[in-house]
This record gives sequence, C-alpha cells and structure tokens, in this order.
Amino acid sequence: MQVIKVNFSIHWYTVLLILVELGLVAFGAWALIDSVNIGSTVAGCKFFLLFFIWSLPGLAVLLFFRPKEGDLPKSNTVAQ
Amino acid sequence: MELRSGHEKAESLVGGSRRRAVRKWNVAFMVRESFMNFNKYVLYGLWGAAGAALLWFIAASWNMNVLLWFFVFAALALAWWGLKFQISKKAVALASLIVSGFWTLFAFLLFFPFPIPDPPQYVVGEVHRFSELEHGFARAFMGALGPNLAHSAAVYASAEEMAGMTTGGFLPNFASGFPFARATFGGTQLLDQLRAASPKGGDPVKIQQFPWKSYEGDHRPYKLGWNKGDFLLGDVAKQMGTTKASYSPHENTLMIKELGKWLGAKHVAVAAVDPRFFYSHDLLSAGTPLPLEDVKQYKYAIEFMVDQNWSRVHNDPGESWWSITKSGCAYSTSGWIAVRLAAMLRDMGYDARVGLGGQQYDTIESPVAFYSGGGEYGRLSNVVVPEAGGMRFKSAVVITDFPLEVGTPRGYGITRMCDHCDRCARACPVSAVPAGDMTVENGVKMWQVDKDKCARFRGGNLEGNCCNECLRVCPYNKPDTTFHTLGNYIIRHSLIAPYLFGNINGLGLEDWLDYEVSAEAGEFNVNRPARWILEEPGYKMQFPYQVGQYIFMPEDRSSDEEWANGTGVKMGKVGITYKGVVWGKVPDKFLDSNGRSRNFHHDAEPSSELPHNLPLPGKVLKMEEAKALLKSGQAFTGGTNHPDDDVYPPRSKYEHGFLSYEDAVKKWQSEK
Repeated sequence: MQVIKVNFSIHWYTVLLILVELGLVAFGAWALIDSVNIGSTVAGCKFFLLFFIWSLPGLAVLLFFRPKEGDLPKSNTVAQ
Repeated sequence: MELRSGHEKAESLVGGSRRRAVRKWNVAFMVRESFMNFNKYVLYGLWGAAGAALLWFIAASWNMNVLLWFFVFAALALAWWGLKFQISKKAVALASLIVSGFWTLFAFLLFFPFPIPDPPQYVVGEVHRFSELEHGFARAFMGALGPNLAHSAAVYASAEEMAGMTTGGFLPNFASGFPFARATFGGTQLLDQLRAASPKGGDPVKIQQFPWKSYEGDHRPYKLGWNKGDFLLGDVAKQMGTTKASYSPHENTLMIKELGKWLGAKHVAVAAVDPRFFYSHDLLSAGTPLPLEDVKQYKYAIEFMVDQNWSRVHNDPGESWWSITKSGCAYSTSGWIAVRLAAMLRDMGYDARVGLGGQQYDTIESPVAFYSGGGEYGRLSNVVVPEAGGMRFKSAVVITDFPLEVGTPRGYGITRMCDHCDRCARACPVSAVPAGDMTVENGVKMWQVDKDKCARFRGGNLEGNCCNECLRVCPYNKPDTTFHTLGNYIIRHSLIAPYLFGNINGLGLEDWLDYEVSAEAGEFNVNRPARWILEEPGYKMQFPYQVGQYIFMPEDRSSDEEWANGTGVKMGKVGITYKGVVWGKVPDKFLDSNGRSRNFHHDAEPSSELPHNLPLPGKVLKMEEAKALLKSGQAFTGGTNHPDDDVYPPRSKYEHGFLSYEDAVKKWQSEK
C-alpha cells in the first residue's frame, strides 16, 4: 500500500491573515455580484478592484513574506 | 528585523577597515557597491512611494484614488522585501498582525453600531407659512421669472396645440408637452376631483358620492370600521396578536401603512400636523388664501412615497425628454394610493383630504417625512428617506382626523453624510445646489437650493425637460438590495463612513465607483449638452405683478435675474472656481465617452426657438393699484420673506416668534 505523507503547518497569525484576505475578496465578490445585478457593471468591477487592491498587502505577506527555514513551526504529519 | 541581502552578506566578509579605505578613493568600487545595494534602494523607494501616497491622500483630503496607490506600493514593498531579503519568523508574524490588525480595526470602525447622531433641529427662528405660488415651478409657470420661461411649451407645441392642452385641463408647460408626460401627469389631473369630499381653497373638487344612504359627507352619524367583523389584515393581526380590530392609534397606523404599501407605496410616513405645514395660498386657483380655520380638524398627516424606480433614474440621463415622466408616474401612483385611502377614511366616517403632485397640495410634504422619523433633510433641501431610495420618490399626503400614532424625528446620520458629500452640488448643471454650509432662511436652518435657478433649468431645458442629475448621483440613490441596506447601516453608525463615501474635499468612493454609468443603457446613458430658455437680453421683471388673484411683490424678484436673461452668458458652472477647479476647463474625470462633461453646460440658448417679445401671463401693476387690491381683499399675496404688513390676508398666530415643532403641534392638537 502506498503511503501518502502530508506535511502541513500554519501559524495562528497566518490563519488570521488568510481569513482577513478571504473576507476582503468575498466582500469584493458580493459587491461585484450586487452591482452587476443592478446594471452597474462598471461600479461592480471597480468595487471588486477596490477590495482586491485593499487585499494586496496581505497577499504579498502571504505569498512572498516567508521566514528563514529554521523559523518554520514544527509540522503536523498525517500518515495513511 | 534583518534587512540584509545576499550581496551585503558577501560584502561583510571584507574587512571593515579595508572597506572604509577603499571607499575613500575607489569610485568603481562605490558604483559596484551601489549596484549591490540596488535591492535595498528599491525597497526604500517603494516604502517611500507608499508613504508619499499616504501623505498625498491626507493632503488631497481623503482622495480615494491616491489611497489605492498606497495599498499598491505597500504591497509591492512587502513583496520585494520578501523576495530579496531574509525574513525572520518574527517579521512575518509582525507583518501578518499589522495587516490583520489594520483591517480588523477598519471593520470595527465600519460595522460597530456606534450611536447615531441626533436628528438636527431645523427650526431656529420665526417660520412663515409658504405660499404655493412661491415655489420654483409655480414662479416659472406664472411668469414671475419672465415671459419666455412661462411660455416654455411653445418650443415644442404650436399655438393651436397649446390652446388644446389648456382646454383639456392641462397647463401648457414642459410637463404636458409630449404624449407620455401628458399621460403620466394626466393621472394627477384625473385624481384632482377626488381629493376631498368638499372643495377647499378654491380647488375644483367634486364629492364622490358614497352609495350608502347614511352617508352625509363629513357628518356621518356613526363610524364604520375596516370591514364587517372588523378583521385586521393578516400581517397587522400578527403584530397585534389578534384578528379583531380595536381601532387604537397604534393599530390604525399599522393598518394604514400596510394598506399603503399594498397599494404600491415604498414607504408610508405618519406625522402630527404642524399648521405651518399648510401653504398660505393655493396655486391652481391662482392665489386663494388657505385660512387655518378651515383645516383645524386635520391633526395627522400620512405621506405615501412612491419610488421613481432605480432603473429609470439610472438609465435615462436626466437631461432627456424622459426625465419628467418619472415624476409623473410616481406622482400619479402616489396620488392614486392617497385618493383611495382618503376615500376609505371618509367612508369610515372621518375627514380626509389629499394633496398630490405636482401642484395639487395643501401642505409642504417634506416636514412630514422628517417629523415622522423617515429621514433627514439633505443638501438638496429635501428629506432623504433611506427606505424610499433616498430622494428618488414622489409622494402624496392625506391629512385627516383619523386617530393615528405619529412618529418622531429619528437620526440617520444623513446630515453628517451630506456635510461630507457634495456630489449633488457638483453635478448640478446650474450650481443651484449649495456647496457650502447650511444657511437660515425663513427661520429654518438647512441647505437651501436656489429654486429659481433649478426651476428655470428644469422647465426651460431645450434638450430635455427636468434634470434629475442631483438624484442620480446621490449616494442614497441605490436599489433596495441587502448590500446597499448594509451601506445605509454603515452611514448611520460609522464615524469614518462620511469620510469614506463622502467627497467634500476630494474624490470619494462614490466618485471612484461611478454608479451612474449603466450597463443596461450603455453609451446612451449620457446627457446631452444642455441648452435652455433665456429671457431677452437685459430683461428685467416688473413688480408688482398680478396673476389671477395673486400679486408678486418686489421682494419676489429672483436673485438670479441677470443669470436668467443671459447677461454675460456665463451661466451654470462656467467661470466659477470651486475647489481649485475652474469650471470651463472640465477635468478629464468628469468627461463622458464623448468628451462631454456630465455636469457642465456647453452653450446657452437666447430663445431662438421662441417668438420674441412674448407677453407675460399676468399683468404688471403700479404699487398703489396693488396695495388697493390687497387692502380691499380682491387680491392676495404672501411669501416667507415679506414683512407682516405686506401679507394678505394677515399671518396666523403660529407665524410670530420662535415656535418649535413640538409646541406648534401641541397648540394645533388643542384647536377645536
């Protein structure tokens, strides 16, 4: 039987940041859908762009702001 | 936080003293060093740009565009930092917490239910009743602003057609100039005869006979209920916990509101009557005085607000021939609701009388909207009612003695919002909407629109009647979706919302979003450059000026008369400097796809589409003649800015000295 090992670790503050980012993008998506529904496509796109731009610093932290190897938390290992 | 690139680490291997020595004379080394420090300089540059954007945002008074650049530069700086430098775990934690914390704080400031500001006290001095002939449209129709504007219908109808309209009961004006406008406003004409059981103020009112033999108009010997068995409407019964009507004021109000909404009203407001709500003189009968003694029984006012429809307001540019029909539709519908429910109240044995649009009112409507707790006065001198699309509604009013539970003024944060927002003032093609602070007129402190300018443009625009621009750009003009309901909540409670949404000092979120562009109407959703009717060059109105029974006195001269006769033709916003923008050089951001400004007039029209030397609808009098007519009771005059001695008939006891709304209501309730 093949064993699949999944290593996954995440700091609480990263979880918080992910939730914040998801919230911003979700709000932007809601604004987009609502505005398109009422015939304001331009406003919808700009609304989404607004929230996307607002989310950029957080995305930059999530994607590019990485610690040195030794600073990573101990990983959880799931073995099957 | 460690800010060292790989190049720097290599550089650090070189001995410190030797490096310093090399630095002194080796230019090549310095260049190489600079190149190696490139990453650091880029990072400093990006943070500098972010900081500059933030300072610019503050310096440019909360300009949304600039704020967005801050986020872009901050993100680039963080990304560059992460890509080019060693990042510690502590730095990641700190950065994550700073970003998360910022947005958590932002969300708290936006969504926490901070206390709503108290409703403003608008009455600050002596308030006089308003003559219906003194509102902008009445002055335009009656000729008080000049003969050309009074004959505005002549630009799209022949003399024969105009005569036909008059015979058919329509005033030949911009509201009756083409078929659909005539059809929609015709609804209000049809309803006019159903406004009351008996005429008041010279109105052409007919009694609608009730078939029951016991019916004697205002004097029914006993009261009837809603129906046999006194069953309440289901949803009201649920609120009352019983199906059986008890006719308490609370229950009556719930029923009236439910019935009004059932018939098509977006919002129903109920307020106690302040006698200063009543007009002093009637428009359609050209000046009949409306004595308060005749209306003492009316203690309550019910306002039925009908939405003019988001899609229409959104998709039809204000300066098109369709604009006026939106008013006509909503006036007719609200009038129909009010007429039917007033008939019901009369049939139940109560007195009820209807005021409906646009010229068949007995009272000013907007105080009913405010004192019922429906909204607050905004920058447009009118009440913004969030539940009814902001100001996108027209309404009809029933005044009655039917016992009702009245509302009280409620805070909505609207005044605070309007204080930070000037979109309507900027959008107004003729600068009729005040851009500054509130002012006091007739003892009322509020933003006062220049009604003459507004009416001249709306009634005399040759490229389409009415205007609608202020309504269209108002942030409260949104459809009734959950998203925008949340927006209203935020504006009510949040301390930062006025800065975020408003734009008094810069470019607000609403400007950036540009809601007034409609996908449904596409490129057709732009205004035409406006042309409008002027008076003859140098024309000066003569006073006293009599129309019907009413005399306009010298105090009634428009403060914008030079503007109206084209002196200099620097009309509208041309040549006005405001917020550093000289109108005439229109900033790109205000141009549409055709390169035309949406809120700017391109040319003026010195009445080339009208015959010259048109007569006034009324006649000019000598002052002695006017005084003699007034003193003998053959003519009347009023107006909020006239001295007491020049008002005929004399002002009521409610119009002397400061009297708050609450005190006026108390006194009026005790009048028998």
